[in-house]
Amino acid sequence: MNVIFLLIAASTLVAVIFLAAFTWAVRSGQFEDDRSPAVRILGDHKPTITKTNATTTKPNA
Amino acid sequence: MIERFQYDNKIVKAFMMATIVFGIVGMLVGFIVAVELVAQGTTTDAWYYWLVRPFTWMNEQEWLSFGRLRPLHTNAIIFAFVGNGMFAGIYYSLQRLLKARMFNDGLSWLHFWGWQLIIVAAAITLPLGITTSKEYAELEWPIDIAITLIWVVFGINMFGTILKRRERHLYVAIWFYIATWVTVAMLHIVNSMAMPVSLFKSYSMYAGVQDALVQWWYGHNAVAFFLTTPYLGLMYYFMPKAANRPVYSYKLSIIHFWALIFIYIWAGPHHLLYSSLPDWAQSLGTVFSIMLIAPSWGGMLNGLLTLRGAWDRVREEPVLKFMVVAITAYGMSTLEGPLLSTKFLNSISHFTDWTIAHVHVGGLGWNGFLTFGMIYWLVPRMWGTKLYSKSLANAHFWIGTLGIVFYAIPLYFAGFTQSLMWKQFTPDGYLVYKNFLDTVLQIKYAYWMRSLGGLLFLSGALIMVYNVWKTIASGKLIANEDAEAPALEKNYVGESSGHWHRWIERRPIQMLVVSLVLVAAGGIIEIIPTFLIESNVPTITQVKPYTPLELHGRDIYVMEGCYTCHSQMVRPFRSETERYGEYSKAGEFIYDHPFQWGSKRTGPDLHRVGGKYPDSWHYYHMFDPTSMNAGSLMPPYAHMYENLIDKEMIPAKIRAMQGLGVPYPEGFDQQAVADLEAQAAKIVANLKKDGIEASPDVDIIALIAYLQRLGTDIKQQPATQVVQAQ
Amino acid sequence: MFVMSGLRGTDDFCHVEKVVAQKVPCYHCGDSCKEDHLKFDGRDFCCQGCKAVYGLLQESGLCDYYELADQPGVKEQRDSTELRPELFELPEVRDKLVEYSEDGITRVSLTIPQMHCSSCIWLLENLQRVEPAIIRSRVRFSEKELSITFREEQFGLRALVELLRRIGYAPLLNTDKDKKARRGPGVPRILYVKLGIAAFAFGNIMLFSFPEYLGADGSDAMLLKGFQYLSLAFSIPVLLFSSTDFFTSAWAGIRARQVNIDQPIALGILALFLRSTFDVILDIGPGYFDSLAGLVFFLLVGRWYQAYTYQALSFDRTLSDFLPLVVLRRTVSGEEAVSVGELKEGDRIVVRDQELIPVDSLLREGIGNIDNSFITGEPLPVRRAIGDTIRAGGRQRGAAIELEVLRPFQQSHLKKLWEEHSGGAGQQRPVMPRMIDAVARRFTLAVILVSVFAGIYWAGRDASMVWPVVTAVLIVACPCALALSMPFTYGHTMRLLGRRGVFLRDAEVVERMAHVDAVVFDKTGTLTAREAYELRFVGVPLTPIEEQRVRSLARNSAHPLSAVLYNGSKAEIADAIEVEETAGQGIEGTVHGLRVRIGSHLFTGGAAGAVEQGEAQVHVSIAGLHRGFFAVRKRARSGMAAAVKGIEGQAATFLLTGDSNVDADVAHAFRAGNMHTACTPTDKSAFVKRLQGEGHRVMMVGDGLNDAGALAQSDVGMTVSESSAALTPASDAILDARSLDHLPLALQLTRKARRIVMASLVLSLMYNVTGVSFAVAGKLTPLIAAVLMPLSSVTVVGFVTLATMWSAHRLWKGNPS
Repeated sequence: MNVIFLLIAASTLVAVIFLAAFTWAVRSGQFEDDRSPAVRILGDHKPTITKTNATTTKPNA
Repeated sequence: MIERFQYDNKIVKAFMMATIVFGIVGMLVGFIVAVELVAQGTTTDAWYYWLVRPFTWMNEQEWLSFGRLRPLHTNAIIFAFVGNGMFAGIYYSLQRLLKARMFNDGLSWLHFWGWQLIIVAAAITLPLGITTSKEYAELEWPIDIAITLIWVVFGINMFGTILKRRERHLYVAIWFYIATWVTVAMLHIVNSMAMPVSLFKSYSMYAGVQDALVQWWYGHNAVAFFLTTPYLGLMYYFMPKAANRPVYSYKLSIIHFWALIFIYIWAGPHHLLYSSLPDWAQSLGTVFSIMLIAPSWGGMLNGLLTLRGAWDRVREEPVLKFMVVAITAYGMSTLEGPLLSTKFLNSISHFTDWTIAHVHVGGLGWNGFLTFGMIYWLVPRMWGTKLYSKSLANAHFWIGTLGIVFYAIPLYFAGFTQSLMWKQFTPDGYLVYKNFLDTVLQIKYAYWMRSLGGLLFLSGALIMVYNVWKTIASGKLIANEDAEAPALEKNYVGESSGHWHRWIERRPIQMLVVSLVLVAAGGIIEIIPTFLIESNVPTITQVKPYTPLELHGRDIYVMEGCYTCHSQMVRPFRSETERYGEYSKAGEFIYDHPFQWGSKRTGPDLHRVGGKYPDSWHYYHMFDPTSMNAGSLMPPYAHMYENLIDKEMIPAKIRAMQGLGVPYPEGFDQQAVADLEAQAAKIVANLKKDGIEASPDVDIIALIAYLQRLGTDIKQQPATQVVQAQ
Repeated sequence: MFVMSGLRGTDDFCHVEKVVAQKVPCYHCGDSCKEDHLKFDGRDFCCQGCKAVYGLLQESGLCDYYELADQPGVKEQRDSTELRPELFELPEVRDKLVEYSEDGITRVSLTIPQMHCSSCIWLLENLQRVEPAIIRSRVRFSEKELSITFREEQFGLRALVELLRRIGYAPLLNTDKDKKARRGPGVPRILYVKLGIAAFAFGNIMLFSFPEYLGADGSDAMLLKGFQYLSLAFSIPVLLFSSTDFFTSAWAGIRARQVNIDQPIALGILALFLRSTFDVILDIGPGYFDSLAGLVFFLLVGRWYQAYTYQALSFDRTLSDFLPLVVLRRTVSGEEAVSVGELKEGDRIVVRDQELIPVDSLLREGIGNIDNSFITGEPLPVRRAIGDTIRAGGRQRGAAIELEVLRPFQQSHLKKLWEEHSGGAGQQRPVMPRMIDAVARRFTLAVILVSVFAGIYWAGRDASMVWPVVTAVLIVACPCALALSMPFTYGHTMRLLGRRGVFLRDAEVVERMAHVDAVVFDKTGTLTAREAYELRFVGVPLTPIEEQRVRSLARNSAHPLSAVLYNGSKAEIADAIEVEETAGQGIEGTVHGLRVRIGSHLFTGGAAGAVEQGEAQVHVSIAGLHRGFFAVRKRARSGMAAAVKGIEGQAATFLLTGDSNVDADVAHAFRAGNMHTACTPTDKSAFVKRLQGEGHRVMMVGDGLNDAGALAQSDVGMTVSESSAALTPASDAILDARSLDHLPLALQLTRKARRIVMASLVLSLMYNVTGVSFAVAGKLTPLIAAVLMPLSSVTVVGFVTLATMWSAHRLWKGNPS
């Protein structure tokens, strides 16, 4: 069953990559705020060239 | 400073169109194979004979028979429909989540056309019988390489975009995308390792049990990381957008991600319960599959609860309807999967239609409906208009849902029924249904209803096509959507915990690469011993390599996709040893490049078929199965009686096998053809005894040779002793 | 109430909002609207402010604000000095807020206590759509912090602040970083990394160990060996990185010659690692790596939870917290803002309504209505006339006054008071032995003894068993569950209390509270409300029309008592004409054709009534005829009596007050002997000390600087606060004034929590004993260890969690409040 080693090596490799990613994410404060990001994605709107224009754009309408 | 830029909608449109077109194609092929599977036995006196005649006709054609189209269906749905759908969703959401256009338009289009080219290649090669026979990885090595390249292109494009992002925080969806990319790359490469014979033929690097393990480690994770994680990412983006509510708990979504990632990867082996895989490895698979329930359901609830306080909107908003069903389907199949991986349920479900039902709840419900929901949400926005008809969308929803029900429910019954029939004994200890066919005829009704379900789902999709087409006609594509966002401020003040990792903070990719290199080094160090030490699969002395003729016969078996209906794995149950003979040992497969265990029994297991019938039986049976088995659903293989054995290839095949460590004597490749002709002559002589005039040069002879060899080795001597092979 | 969101968990806060909304809720803020409320395109609004915000958002296409949550809005607040945006432009303030400012682009970070829900986040992050000059605005919800990048030359900081105020998110003026630093530390990122790595290793090592447990046979020997080495590899980061905290604290303990719980833990971890490595390398067995990783993982979870349950509140105070950041100094040219420190003798300063008097000074202009309740506990504002000296620490109520600085801040009365009481008072507090330490001491001793004896025993019988047995003992004796029970129980208790408006500094306070057997209350501001008054009319009763006259006139006066009168009556308002106010006397005017006077008895030509302590009198004359007076006094807080009675069951209750006698309603809540009047701050702390001398564990409940000493002296100092912005001295706990009646239950809960911890200790000890018995017998297989450890941890944590929740549930269900 030595192929299991190959699989484990590969799987572990991936797992470690993600561990590294996790460490980076935590260190750089990616998960500091666990509320705003969810709201942030909601209102991506047309750029407000002028105020009047802005009034016409209602996001997610 | 505010920067103005534009989101690339053109590429999104391209992928979306592709997903629609290939979705239809994939479902259509699905419908065709569904009917092919059940229609074959239909006799002229049946009222619907002429209705199904086109399908039986196709089944009789070399290139359109079930065995060859079924891989086309799975590949089309997974890589063409879901694949393109995933890319459409990622290319749309990634740009907006990162407040940046895709890294490079050139790469985007290279990715698009490359991927479509691969799909076309698949659509051509699979019907031609050019296949590796490894499920969901049937494509031959040149295409595999192409896939790898395009995947890298996609990766560069995605990480490039992440690097030039204008939003520091990576939304959880992006993590799911990243996971998809990294993992699929690794799975694809490991599983596609093969020894090429020619441009269109290769033998898997691994043999038998090991090949099976790798294949299902891939098979499972392909489902995990190609069908699940990217779509979870899409769910976490499009669900809140459609509901205009933030996801129920962002914290939970983060936990969902990391838990899933760290557990999924290990759950592969559960596809091989009761196989010749070591017991502990099987149990391991089960344990981790069970552990998967927690994060999966966390994710499902998170998705559904996002609608809290907005359920009223679900009633009038088709997009939400689709998504709710999709997420529910996700929950259902992520619960069912682990349950099926428990030994008890698996002993019932495995090799039956239960599995088919399970995967289709996931495929039709989760992937299908989420894609539809996404399309209905995207089209009006990208073409700056309103959806042409909500009522049509609702119609699609209901028809589709009905389709899923009609598809799944009957197959659950079918699977259950058949499995019980297989195991049923008379009081005095004989199988009640000795003839396997009886257990199939019993569930034909389910196959018909399933076809109907598929048809419904397909017609629903067609309604969507019309709706989308009209919507697009009423609007104009916003090819480049204006956007503005301030560039990231350089002097980002994170928690001042030392400064060494500040460097990393600003360079996620470099860090990923560095760690990758480090770990790869470690990985290699881990792997090297495995290639130095000898295989510790218990091997059996009488098990010998296939003769050239058998080898060619085996290639035909692979080419025709026999594994899609016949397993080669007798499990250690009385019901199976009673029906097929001694259960399969790991040691018997050491020369099987690739393994042919199969995953579904529409026909009986063939591992012990060798010597069970005379050559003539096979000769007649392959030409017209019903002649030997009244009502058989198996298609006839007339072309095998004309196609000549390709003898030029034989030496190359032998050499390839030797390259994989199969112990043919030195220089055997030169004698191979002679050996082949000698064996062919024997078989022809055998057939003559039964009054059959056959040419020794046609494929059927080789196939007979292979079938007669199957599982016979250990019958040579009763006593089998186990040793370490050299 | 909005400021309370600083204290409350945000969700509870949203909940509070909904409770408020009866009748027609305001579309913006959810408050219930009056009958004659404003209507604007089909929506109901309770006030002009809310309507204005709605208009603004609608015009900027930001109405999704109302989509994301129901009535998310926040009413603009009137009081508090934050309402003076020009302050934000003063260098002292600006420097604290601005993170960077280059070529016209500026980034400031503001603290906004009002943000509470998704809508808030969404609106605050889309400000650039309201004001184009704003480039980017990012919320840090956990910190209630808003970081805005904007073009300052187009749109000044002051304008920004005004904008925020207009939409109901007024930023705090004092967002100084050191305040943040004094808060509970919260969870350091590094801990998450450690946790992640431990979890990762735990998972994988478990995976690698399964084959062993699932009975892999000899044919996989090579594979198993590989797994064992992989496990070894994975557990190295666990030992060297994830578990460092335990070693450091254990070492610290040794250095200080103290036994602490981390020592047996560190010992266990070491034993686990050494033994396992030994086993693997010498090919004796698979080792206990999964137990090791699991142990560290669970322990770290405990640490994480401990950090996680810290209150996002500042319990410590420095004098600077109480002082205005800047004072307006009157100069020839006009007013200039200077920091308190710069004031010199002879400077003229202007103090406006609600502002604190920073230095001892002489009143030069205007009428002083000085509220000293915070320093001295005097219930009512005192009148000061021109020429009087005013001591620092009081608050001006009513129109602005001008003062002449007597002596610079350094020598001010306030500073002295502060140093007397708060200055390092914490040290004198008697040390209370922590249960965990006591347990740890005995435990560690026991472990060492057992392992030694086991070693000796086996040395006699079979020397080869000594090493395995001793290590085994150290392994299973590792008090993981023990270490978990306390942070979880007390953590839950803190969270449960926090939900009910009782906020504890840290887990240790829970245990201290559990020991309390004497509770000492301050009166003014603690048992009586700060701003709520009680009106009693003495004399010929007023007819409704007369009451209407009085109210209408009172409306025209800035005097605090007039305000009390105005608010105390429900009469219709008529307009008063020919109104004139005589400084220090009263106010007169004509309402409905009759001349009305309200003010001192002299002013109204009546006789002073018998003045009860803690009461003020507002006399009324109508058409020159003296009608009597309103007796004004502070009202006791709702639930005050209930609270005191409730506590009496569990602990002795005492009342200390600066006044020379006690209002009736407060009085009958206490035993006669337990009330002490006319207490100076020093008396108070002395009293507490005396009680402690008699062996009592004392909890002091106070609010003002005059209680600071006593609070510091007591075993548990608890301050009552009406808002997070209110001035409260340093303390161990903060009690939301509205939750006074929860106090008895809070005390009970802490006692229950303590019992729960004890029970859980017994439970975990049982596990240890079981394990040790295996170990001593030399039968501790890796599998047993691998099962026993997580099992004990999980059961103990589960037990304490459920038990705490349940007892809290029962307490508050039993006595609804």
